[in-house]
Amino acid sequence: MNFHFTERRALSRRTFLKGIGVSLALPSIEAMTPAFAVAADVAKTPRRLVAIQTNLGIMPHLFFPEKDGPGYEPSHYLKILEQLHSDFTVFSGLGHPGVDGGHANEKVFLTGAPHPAGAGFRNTVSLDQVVADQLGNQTRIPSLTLNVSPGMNSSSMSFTSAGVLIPGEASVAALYKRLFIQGSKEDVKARVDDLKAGRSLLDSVGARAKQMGKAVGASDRNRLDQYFTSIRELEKQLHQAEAWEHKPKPKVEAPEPREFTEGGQLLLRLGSMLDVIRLALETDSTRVVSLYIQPLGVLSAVEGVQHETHSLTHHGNRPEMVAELQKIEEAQFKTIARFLLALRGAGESGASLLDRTSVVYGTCMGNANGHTNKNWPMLLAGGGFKHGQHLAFDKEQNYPIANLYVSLLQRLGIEADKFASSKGTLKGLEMAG
Amino acid sequence: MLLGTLAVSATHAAAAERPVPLKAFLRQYCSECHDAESKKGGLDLAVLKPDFADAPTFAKWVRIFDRVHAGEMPPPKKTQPPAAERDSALKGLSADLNAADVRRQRELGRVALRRLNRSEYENTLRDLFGMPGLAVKELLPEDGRSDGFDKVSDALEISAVQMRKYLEVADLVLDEAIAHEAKPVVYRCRERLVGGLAHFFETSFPIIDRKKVDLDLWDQMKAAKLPLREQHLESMQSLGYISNERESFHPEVGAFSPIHSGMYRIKTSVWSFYYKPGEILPAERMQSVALLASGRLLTHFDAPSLEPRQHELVVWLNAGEKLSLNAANLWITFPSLKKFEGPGVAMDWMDIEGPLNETWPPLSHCRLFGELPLKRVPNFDNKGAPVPEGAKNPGKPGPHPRQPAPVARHPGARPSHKDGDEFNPKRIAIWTVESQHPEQDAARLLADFLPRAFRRPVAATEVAEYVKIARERIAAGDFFESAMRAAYRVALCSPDFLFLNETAGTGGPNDPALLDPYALACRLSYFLWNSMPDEELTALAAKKQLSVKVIQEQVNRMLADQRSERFIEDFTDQWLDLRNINFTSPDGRLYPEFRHDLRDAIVSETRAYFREMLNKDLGAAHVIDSDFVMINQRLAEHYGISGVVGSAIRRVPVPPGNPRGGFITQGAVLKLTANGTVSSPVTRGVWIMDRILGKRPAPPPPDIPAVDPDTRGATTLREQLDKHRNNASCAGCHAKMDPPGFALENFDVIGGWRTRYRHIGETGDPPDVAQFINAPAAKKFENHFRYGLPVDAAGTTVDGKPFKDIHEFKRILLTEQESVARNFVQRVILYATGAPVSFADRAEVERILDASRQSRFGFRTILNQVTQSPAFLHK
Repeated sequence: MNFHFTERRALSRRTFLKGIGVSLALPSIEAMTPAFAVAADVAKTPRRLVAIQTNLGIMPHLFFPEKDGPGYEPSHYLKILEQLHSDFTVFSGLGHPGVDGGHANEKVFLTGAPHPAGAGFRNTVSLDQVVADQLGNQTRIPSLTLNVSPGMNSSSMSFTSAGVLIPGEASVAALYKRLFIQGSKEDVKARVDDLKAGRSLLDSVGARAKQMGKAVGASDRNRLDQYFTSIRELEKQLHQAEAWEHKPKPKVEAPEPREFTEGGQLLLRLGSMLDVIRLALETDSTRVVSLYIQPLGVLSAVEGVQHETHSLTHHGNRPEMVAELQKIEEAQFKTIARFLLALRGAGESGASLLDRTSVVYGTCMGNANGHTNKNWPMLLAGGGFKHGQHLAFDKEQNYPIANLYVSLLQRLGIEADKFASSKGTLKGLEMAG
Repeated sequence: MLLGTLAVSATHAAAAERPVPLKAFLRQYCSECHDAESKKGGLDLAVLKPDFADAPTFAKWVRIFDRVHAGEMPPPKKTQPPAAERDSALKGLSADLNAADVRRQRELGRVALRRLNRSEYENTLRDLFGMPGLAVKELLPEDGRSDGFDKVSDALEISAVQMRKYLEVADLVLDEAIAHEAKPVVYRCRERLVGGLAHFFETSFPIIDRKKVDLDLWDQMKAAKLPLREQHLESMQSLGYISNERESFHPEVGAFSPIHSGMYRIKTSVWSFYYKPGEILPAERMQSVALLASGRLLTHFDAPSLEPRQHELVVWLNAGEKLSLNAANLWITFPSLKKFEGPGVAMDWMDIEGPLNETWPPLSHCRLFGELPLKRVPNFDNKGAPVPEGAKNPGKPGPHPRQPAPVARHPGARPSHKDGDEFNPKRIAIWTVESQHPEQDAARLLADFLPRAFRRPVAATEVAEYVKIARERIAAGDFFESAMRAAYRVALCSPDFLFLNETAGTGGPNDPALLDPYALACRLSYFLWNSMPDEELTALAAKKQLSVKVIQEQVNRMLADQRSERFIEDFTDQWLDLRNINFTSPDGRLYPEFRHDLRDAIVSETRAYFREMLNKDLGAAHVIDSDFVMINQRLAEHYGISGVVGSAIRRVPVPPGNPRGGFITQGAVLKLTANGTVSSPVTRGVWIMDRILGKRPAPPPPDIPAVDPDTRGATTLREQLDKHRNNASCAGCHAKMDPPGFALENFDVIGGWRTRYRHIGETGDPPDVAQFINAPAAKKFENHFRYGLPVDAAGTTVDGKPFKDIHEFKRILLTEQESVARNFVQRVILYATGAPVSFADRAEVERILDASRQSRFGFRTILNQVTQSPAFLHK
């Protein structure tokens, strides 16, 4: 079901040192060129962010541990992540203040904009796009906006600074192609010509917008300015894309993944998608990924499951419905666990990929049965934080998720002290080195 | 403090004229709570300047006006102002707010430049190119909404993401629009199979003489390999099947999947029966089958008992779609023909023909290239010599204009190379337009295309800009087609195409915001067709003939036109939230009778009812109640109304005592206000307050505990909510919004009538099999659900009027017709103009209400009034 490729764990610095039987303090071997190079590489190794939301909730009684702190007893679902115990932190009592409205809040998972169900609601920029603005120019793809959805639709949880939804890619094959399939010289030329034609088109329509702006009133001009800014922004993107077209795409051993198109195969598709995400990170094709999992209207092909997932989440506390939903959620946690383990197994320049990649996994529903928007089940894996603990906050007066986002921004080297409703970094979450 | 601020503001022109009482009024009755220290509700009157030109400040003053005007402020506990004092204060404030808003509207217009939303964009492309089923909407990011509508200028943002998509879609549309072949490639076939060969002699089977099924053959073939079964395909008379679509049975028709998007003619012959092992007996009811193209519902065909009925349909199909003919009325079954007893449907054949092009090249191509001839682009052999047409070795294409990407179709799809050379991708030659005078042609074609695309006259200098783009490419040696394409692509991504540029100024200095005739034509067409004006409307604009009388004639003509269905769908989607109809799927154990036939019918009902209200000028009362419903057979069965046969929606009188009639007791509304398992009176109450009465309650305060629904049967959601409501701080709002929801408690999550709740559990009575239409004889329902606690649909409205059920509640609600009408007027204005009703528009709303009072707030009258209102006629 998954496609495989050989594990390439880089020789870590410590392994290297052990191998030659040296136990010197690290600074003193700076003269050793190879070792020095490795050390420098570690510092230069990029940091990354993967944010994953599953939009129909995670049953809270199976997710949240009872005790807090480092000695917490893993909950039913967290036992699935047991092997990763010291690589993640589980939170409780997190929420976005002012975010309510049942399902509507899925679109503010990464933005924190209040009252998403309100009549005049306007979204704000999502965390991944803040990161993409800062780091996006370093990689072929500034950021990946992906979804795993039954109809292979274009939903996502990423929004531009104007609050416009960025369509998500649902096809694993298309994603793989975009990342790794170089094509013939003619293909590359055609792509470059296409980008050039796009830029020349933008010149023309931009000139027209300017001309039009002279003939209209102030409020119309504001709208045209927005159009004009969009053109500028796209022009920059096309320019960068063109520059990347002249550099060959990375080669990976994993073959093009199979596309699971049936709604019931959603979890298989999730697995494939996560595999390609890992490849994208390993090849440094991008550093920011947002993945939106939307099992709406899906009769999951998990053994023992006979009901559509969304109906199951409205289980009305009926034990047999809860049991079915539990099977689906367990399978999903296993898929996430495989992804995290694979990231840990993949190394680059002496660090594990997981240590360099912050993975947020969570849901906007505190309890889907009652559509509550408080106490969001959330966890953070990897990224170079001190993990292995349960950070518990007030389950009623929730602690802002945006504080976690500020911690993540700072970890990525972005100078930020605020994001959405945040009042600082997340209390109790410390960087490891 | 407060006085100081107001005194400073005297520099402001509007403030200088403010009548004295407001200052005193605010100080006396409001400043105790709304001062710098308390700032109750976030309002600090000490710093609130009367700067009405500033939008947020203006909005605050409007809110102050509204709360005081409604008597909500000062709150009951505080000293109440005498009515005269209050009225005087408000009068002055109202005049100021109105003056400021009128000035804004005159200077800037009510509506800022508005981007086409994605439905409008898609429809405009469809109409511009004459490709009625072109599907590009889903390729664009979702639009921002305001008050549930995607028509509001302020919420329709644009970003680089959108621009990139516009570029892509422009290319896709041009790929589809431009002809690349010498002549149309028409495919004709007769399909016999539904559900694929693997299901032949499983779920589907041959029927002999409409009388019997050969069970021996069935036995034999069930064990046989697929090719052996295939030989019975051609010889069979009718194909029967007895299951609705299920995970393992997709009722796809043959292997047909178009290579070309376009119009197709589909003819079929279908009928129905009741099956007993080996026997074909008369059906117990008229059945119907749903024709779908890759999940897109095209129509329902009625299938009478034992009598084949022929149907014909001409419809747009997109390349790569698959047709299916679903037995939508039937239950999902896994039948063995030796045991099964129950209803089934039969198809004798289905003939498919298309694409049907009345002319060649098609209209879409002619819109771009006029009458210019097509010419073949030569292929070359491996020595580089051109290959003549029809040669054995087709060769490889040389340089040629961009071609559409190959269509993604499922393996084994027909037509394929087996159906003839014209369907063999290797042998299809590339053709392109030929121009003897490229520059003149470019100028001529663009001068024709641009005014159409931009929906207004286009100056010669503007056309010249586009000709320049083509000329440069022609000079660089490009194909004429490619050069023109570059120009067209710019046009389709330009602000002139993507925005509704509503030019004002024809009204002169006294009326600077009056729309020019072309902009007015667009207002009308984007309102009623969600798309560009047609030739008649444009001609009227050109002749400056869009007078009040002509507008009314045009509204009538446009509503009679098929394109107005877009308005009906889009407006009901947004006003009544119909777009959310599939947001939840009813729990299959609790609601086994809910299948796609019912789902499709409830949506059609609400749309048809709205259409009927417009056609017959029915008014606000009909929103609440009515003596007729718009239903088909399936829905009649659902509503307990007899004598309705067939899948077509028609007008049927409501029998005495039946609770149906009006929007609020329609299946669609009841379903979309429930979640598939339970219905919450709060959700339904809020929906009625908001969408019907226009009094949207404030969102719940943060930090209230939520209710965890429980369907094990021991308690009802209403009981659970009662506990929650007893909390004093919740009671105030819930007293308003819960009662309408209580009145709807007799309706379950699929809009069926209930007197007891369904639950999954051991207690209570099991359902009666007879209540389920079409259920197979052996179908058992004990494991599905049981009837539990009784429904309590009684309540008391916030102003103390008790009701015992929906009938009584409707009577109470009928006293609020004016609110219902006002809500409709406000939402139509928002939808039609792209901006919500603002302070200065309020008087106009009341005028429209007065003008339509005689028609009892008839919806058609209101629609006409809106199209003649200043808000509609001005930018």
